[in-house]
Amino acid sequence: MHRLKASTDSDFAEWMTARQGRLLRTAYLLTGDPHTAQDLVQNALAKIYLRWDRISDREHIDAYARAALVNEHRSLWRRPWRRREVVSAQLPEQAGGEASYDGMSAALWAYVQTLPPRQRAVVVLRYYEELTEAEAADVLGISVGTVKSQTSRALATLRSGLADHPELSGKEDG
Amino acid sequence: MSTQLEKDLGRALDERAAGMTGGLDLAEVRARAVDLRRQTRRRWATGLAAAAVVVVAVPAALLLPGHEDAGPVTPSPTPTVAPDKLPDPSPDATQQNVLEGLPVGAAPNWPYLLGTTVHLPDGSTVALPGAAKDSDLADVGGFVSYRGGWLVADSGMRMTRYDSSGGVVAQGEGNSIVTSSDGTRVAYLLGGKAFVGSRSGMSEGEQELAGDTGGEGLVGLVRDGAVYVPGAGAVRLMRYDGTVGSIDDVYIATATSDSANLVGGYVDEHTGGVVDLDTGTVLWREGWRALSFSPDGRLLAAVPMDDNGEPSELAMLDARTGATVARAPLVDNGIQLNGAPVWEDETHLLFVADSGPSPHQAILRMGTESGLERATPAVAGGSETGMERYHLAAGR
Repeated sequence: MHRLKASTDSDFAEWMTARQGRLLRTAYLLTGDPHTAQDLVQNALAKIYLRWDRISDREHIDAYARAALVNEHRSLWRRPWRRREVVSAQLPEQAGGEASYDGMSAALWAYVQTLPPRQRAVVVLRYYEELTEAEAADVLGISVGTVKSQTSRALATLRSGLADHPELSGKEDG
Repeated sequence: MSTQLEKDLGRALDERAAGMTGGLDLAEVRARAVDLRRQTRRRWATGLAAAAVVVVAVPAALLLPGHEDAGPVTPSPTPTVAPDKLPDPSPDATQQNVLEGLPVGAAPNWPYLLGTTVHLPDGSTVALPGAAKDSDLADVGGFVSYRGGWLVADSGMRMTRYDSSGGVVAQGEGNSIVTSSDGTRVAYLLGGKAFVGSRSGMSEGEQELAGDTGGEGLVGLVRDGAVYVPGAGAVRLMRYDGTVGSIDDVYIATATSDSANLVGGYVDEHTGGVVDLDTGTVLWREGWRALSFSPDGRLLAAVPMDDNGEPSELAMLDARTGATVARAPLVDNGIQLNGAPVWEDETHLLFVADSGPSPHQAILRMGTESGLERATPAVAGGSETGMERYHLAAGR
């Protein structure tokens, strides 16, 4: 019994070591806050750990983990006692606020942070995780059509925001 | 084929995320897993006990006017009914969802959405326009009947106004719907502008309110107009007379009452409280986070400010003193509050609740002098599954 448990822990630890960096980066893009991201990943990993022995399809464990992470994040959406704190306490940083990123990247990140949760999740899954529309729809539990419409609205918001930065306009295809 | 914007976006996300590195070790994950398992077992264990949950009521005298002492109030002296130590669950007990174990009460005397169908207080149902399937409404931001049709906000920050036949009257960016205490007036955001109008549409036209919310939602109505919070420490009032003012005594507003002209929220960065706009005085300050005022403004639904994550309890406070009138333990009974509660009448709250062990969702009722009861069937789904099932109509 102990040997089996040790083997399980070893397998899980190996997978976690390899994957937690990516999960943490995705969580950070979803939340915009490193502490919340860490908490989100810890919860998602803990739930996977509890189910590790029952997850038979190890080939798809990464997809399972990604879905667990997004679900953890989504569970925060409808909680006004948290949502308003985020809205109020963490206004998006201004474009160009960090010297290590060029103007376009900083501006885009600032506007990504203003997107509503679902649009932001779609953007992260499509353009960071590089999922297809169908894969993103599967993770989020929504239709492909909704992924398309949410993506379209998000890009329109970003495009509109960039229009307020004429110094960047030459770099964008509009 | 990707556009330049999409390529730039991918690069921006890559760059921004690159600095994040994982630092969790197995021991930390195991510790969190143990916590989660303990919480789950506690929820299961309380599945049977949940039926016996009663809301602790404070003598009705506290509800009467004349108790306007603004002195400090201790938020948690009222004993709760959840036992500290619960018996181990029997195998059968673990199979019962906590919500299913609650006493069943009357159906909500308040419109609610289940799937794509609106259930009205008279028992009739109507399809909410704009939604062909459940997933389209998985993250409804709010809805309310309006001028014979509907106002619907979705999670994509889009507000749509429908006429009585389901046709789109107007659509644009917008994320909030609020109503007056008596339910006769509705304010909402659409296309970056705020509108207020009578719900029936019989007596007046719509009024566009002056001011720019900066994309933030409306908190609610007070006697002179609509309140919004563009940022921490900045609470604004869009008055019906066309002017815009500040509410300086409130750091962040989270609830309003136009019948009593009160604003609840944070009175500083760390303290909850209620401000009387008629006198400009802070009525009380303590560790409660305001969620919604009763129609007459005498009671306030609130949750503890210190709860990190799930509110441990839902309380009814005397709005003018902060004294506890009734409280219902949530987490210890395996119940998660989902969204803000609405007042069904002067003494009863309705709220969407999630629970396990298999994720279910239902609308629950809490009264000043009665226990928690289930007002709708518990259906599979809920936040943990990513599929919200119930939504209460926007309200006070």
